[in-house]
Amino acid sequence: MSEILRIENVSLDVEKKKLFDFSITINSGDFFLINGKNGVGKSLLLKLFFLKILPSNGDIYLYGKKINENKKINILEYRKKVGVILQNDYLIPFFTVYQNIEIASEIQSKKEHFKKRIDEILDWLDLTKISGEFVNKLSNGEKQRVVIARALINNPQIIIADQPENYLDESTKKKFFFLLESLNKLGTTIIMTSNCHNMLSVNYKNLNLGKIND
Amino acid sequence: MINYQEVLKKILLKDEEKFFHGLSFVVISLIALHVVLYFNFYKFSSNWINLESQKTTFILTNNNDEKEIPLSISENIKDFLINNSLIDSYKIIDSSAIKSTLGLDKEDEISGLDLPMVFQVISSEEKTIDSIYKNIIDISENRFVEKYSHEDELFEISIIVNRIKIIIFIMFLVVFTLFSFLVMNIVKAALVTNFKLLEMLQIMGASSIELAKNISQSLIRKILPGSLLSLIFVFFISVVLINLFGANFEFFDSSLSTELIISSLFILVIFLILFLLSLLFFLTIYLFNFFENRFFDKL
Repeated sequence: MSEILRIENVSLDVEKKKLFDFSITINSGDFFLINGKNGVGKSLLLKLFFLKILPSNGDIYLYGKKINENKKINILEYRKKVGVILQNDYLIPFFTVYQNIEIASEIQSKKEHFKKRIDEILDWLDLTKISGEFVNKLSNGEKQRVVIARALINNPQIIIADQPENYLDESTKKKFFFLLESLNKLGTTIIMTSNCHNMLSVNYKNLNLGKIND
Repeated sequence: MINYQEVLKKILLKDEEKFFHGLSFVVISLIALHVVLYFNFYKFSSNWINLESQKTTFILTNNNDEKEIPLSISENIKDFLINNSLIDSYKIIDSSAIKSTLGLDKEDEISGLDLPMVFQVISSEEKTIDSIYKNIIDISENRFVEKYSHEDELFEISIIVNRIKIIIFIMFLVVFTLFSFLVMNIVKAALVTNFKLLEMLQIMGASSIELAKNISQSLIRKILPGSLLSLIFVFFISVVLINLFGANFEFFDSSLSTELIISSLFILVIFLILFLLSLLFFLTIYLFNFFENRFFDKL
């Protein structure tokens, strides 16, 4: 298993408060589940994993190379390999379901990949019938499925998800977790926060934020 | 496939498109009008000053016992002016024109008014003017002859003309700066409103320069129809102004009018290209900076 991200003695200074202070190595094929109570900084930690924030202290190594804010090209390349599932208000409301998924391929220059995958993804997430609908007319559950579809369309090497099960019904949740486990078995790295860890049958690593912060 | 730029076009300023067309038309017309006025005024005033500075006015005063210069002398002067090859052109100011200028149209021949002979000579050579002066004294049989070079009197006028040029240029800069400032602020407001969407594009790996280039190109496309319309409008205005001004100047001929109209169109096209390119450049720099500052979230 090759190293993707190595975090050494990293901490964040948030409003004069020191958060985290931990070290971790993420390899390809790892499955991390981040635990912790509300407000401990789970979403913040996820931002650190997809490099939307940089640590106040400590070092981050991307594929073995130390990064800082001047190495944006490397960070952009990394971001293109990551599928991020955040809350559904990050969708473009006046675009259709299809267009919202397509934009990810457009940005990550994986148009050929898109053609091969789009029908499969739409079908798998029950989005085929509503693929031409504008996102602002969808229910929260449907929007969440679009967010998942957008994150998965480019077959990412790493999936980072912030409570992806939100708004999903039970059967979709089961399907989604099954998909995550399958992708993980194929080598995809998964880092997520979730309240449905009981649905996971794969061996995952726990990252308990309560302990880290203590 | 949807185009990446189309996405940004729809995200940004979607509802304000008509407003942007109108705004760009009004403001670019205003700026272009300044440009065309500046260059036309420059050309106009330069032509006028150049021509005026070559003029010398001669005033031949009659003797005390004469009501006006004898016909034989005035005819000799005319012949001299016609036959002198060194003179570019000349103009004898008719006594009735002098009377008219002085508001004495109704004065008859028996009034006590003595009128001098006044004529203007156009020549850029000082030696020629001196030689004419000597010859006129001889021809006029030593009557009193005064000569006034217009160049001396043009000094103050040229200062005023330069001041007007500076004012037009400053006004151009003010309007241009205000427009740029307004566009930047509208864009910033639109970006801040839609930032969550743009942030997602950044998370997915869109680079700042890519976003900046695409957004600024989208904005320029929104400005383009209004600016093309303003080019036509200002060109039309400048044609009207050139003909309006031209009618009031004697030196003005149709070839100069055509030259000015063609040069106005040329200047307007060059201005519009440079204006849009510089706006594109500044917008790209501004947006690049905007996205680079938000590449990482601040803690």
